[in-house]
Amino acid sequence: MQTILKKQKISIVPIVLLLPALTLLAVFSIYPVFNAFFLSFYNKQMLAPGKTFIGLGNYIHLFQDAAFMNSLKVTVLYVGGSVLLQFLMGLIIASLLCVKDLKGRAIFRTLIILPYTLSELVVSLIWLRMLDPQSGVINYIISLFGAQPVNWLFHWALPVVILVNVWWGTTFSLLMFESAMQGIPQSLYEAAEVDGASVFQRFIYITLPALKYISLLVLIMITLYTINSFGIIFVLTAGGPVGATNVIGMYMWNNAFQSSDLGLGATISTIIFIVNIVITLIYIRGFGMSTMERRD
Amino acid sequence: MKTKLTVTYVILSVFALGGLLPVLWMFVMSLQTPRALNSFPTLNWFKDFEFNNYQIALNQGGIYQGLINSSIITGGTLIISVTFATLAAYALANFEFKGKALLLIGILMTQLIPGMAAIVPLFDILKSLHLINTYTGLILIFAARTIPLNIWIMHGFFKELPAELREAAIIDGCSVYTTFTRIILPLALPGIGAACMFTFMQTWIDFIMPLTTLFDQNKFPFTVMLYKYVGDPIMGTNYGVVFASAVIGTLPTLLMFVFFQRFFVKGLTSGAVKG
Repeated sequence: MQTILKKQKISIVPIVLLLPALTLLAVFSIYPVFNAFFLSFYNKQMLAPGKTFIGLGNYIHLFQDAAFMNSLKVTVLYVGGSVLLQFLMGLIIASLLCVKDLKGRAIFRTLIILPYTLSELVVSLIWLRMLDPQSGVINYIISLFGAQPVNWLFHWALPVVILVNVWWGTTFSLLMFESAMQGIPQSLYEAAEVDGASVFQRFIYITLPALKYISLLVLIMITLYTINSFGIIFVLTAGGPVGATNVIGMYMWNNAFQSSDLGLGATISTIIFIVNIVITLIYIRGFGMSTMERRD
Repeated sequence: MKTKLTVTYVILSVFALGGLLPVLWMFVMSLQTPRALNSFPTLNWFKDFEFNNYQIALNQGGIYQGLINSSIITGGTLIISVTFATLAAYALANFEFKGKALLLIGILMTQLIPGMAAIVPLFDILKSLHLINTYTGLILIFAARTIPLNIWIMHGFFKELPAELREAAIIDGCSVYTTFTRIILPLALPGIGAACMFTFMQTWIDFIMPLTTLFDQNKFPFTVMLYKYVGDPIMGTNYGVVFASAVIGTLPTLLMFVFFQRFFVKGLTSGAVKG
């Protein structure tokens, strides 16, 4: 038996099987990182042919641009707010869904993650109309309580886009936490209950430590996703008003495809890639390298 | 104990309503005339409904073409992504070779390379491959984006199949190819289903990538069509039609999710929770 499987060891078969997938990943996933880095040293316009080497010109331009500095600040607030809320909401809802004897679990879960099945575009259009200052239903609801209409996307732009993003995106952390919690042996909780531990104590001493690895993973995934996506902002505010929601992805897209400056766009891409790596490393360090190894 | 359950029900209901109500509101808005949608107070909206919006969306709005284009893009992505991922996962699950563990981690790490931040270099790469403004270019980008997770999903399924199955097949004289197509593949169908569903949901709803890489109006998927309406001086003011189109375009993912939720959850959490 052993020899039969061993004979295939030197076979070319696995290479042939792996090749299509790896080629595609190399060209459209890994190479873009290098391509962006390479392009960032050039002045390349979308509409003009060719490109000219300008060294660090794009980088110098960026760091002298107040709009870029503003986009960094907005990104920190947007990502910080979104990640914190998604993480906490995911954790809370997942623990509620794991409560013993809960009926209708599947229905609750379906309704809570329903928004995630919509396109970011549709999500944004729905909220755009609901938040409309003249005829939006949200202003109607607050008017029932005697409040004056609010121009949400003007005065509260950043909090609003964060909330819409959380409404749409909490699904990921929720599902990850829920399936991780299901893996915690029930006997641990029963033993703690016998020993007189309260619900809160059981959560702190049993649930949380068991979720360490998954928390690290969730944090990395949602942080990177939030830094790199801007679909909701694209539709709701397009970065405005006056740059209040101009996250770095939006800023990049505008420079590359509105101002047609691909070189500058690639420079911002490169910076985003570096930020991604740095953040991942910070998280791993913060949790301790051992979290990555001790998976089970 | 009883009160604890009650509190749980109350909080979960609040969250569930929070998820549901805006989606329902989309349906309500899709049945309104432009006049009703701009009127205040909102209660006027429930006096009469405009079912014509759906007809207008299908006949005049071009959403029909958009749905066909979305199907082509999503279908192409599904075939390439799931096929390539299945083959790769089979190799990773059943063959021994040097650096396999590293390769598996490496594949998952490409998941961390952000799709959206790569939009500028991807645009540049498509241009040099003469794939800009083509379905092919978009399909390859989407396939590359979904392959890593699909490999993980399929890898998990292949690993669960007992090794004796393959050994028995080889002893009975099956070639590598027939072992795979006759024995392994039928058993891995649930995994393929999960991968397909996950890929479908990721691809169908995307809009910034096609918005950036397609210029030809006849090629727009429904999301880009919808986005263009909103900016259109005539169609854009008629939000009833916009939301009717949104509902039509959203139904495939919404229904698929409601009926095959288990697959979707499996897709999202695989590779992460179970090693």
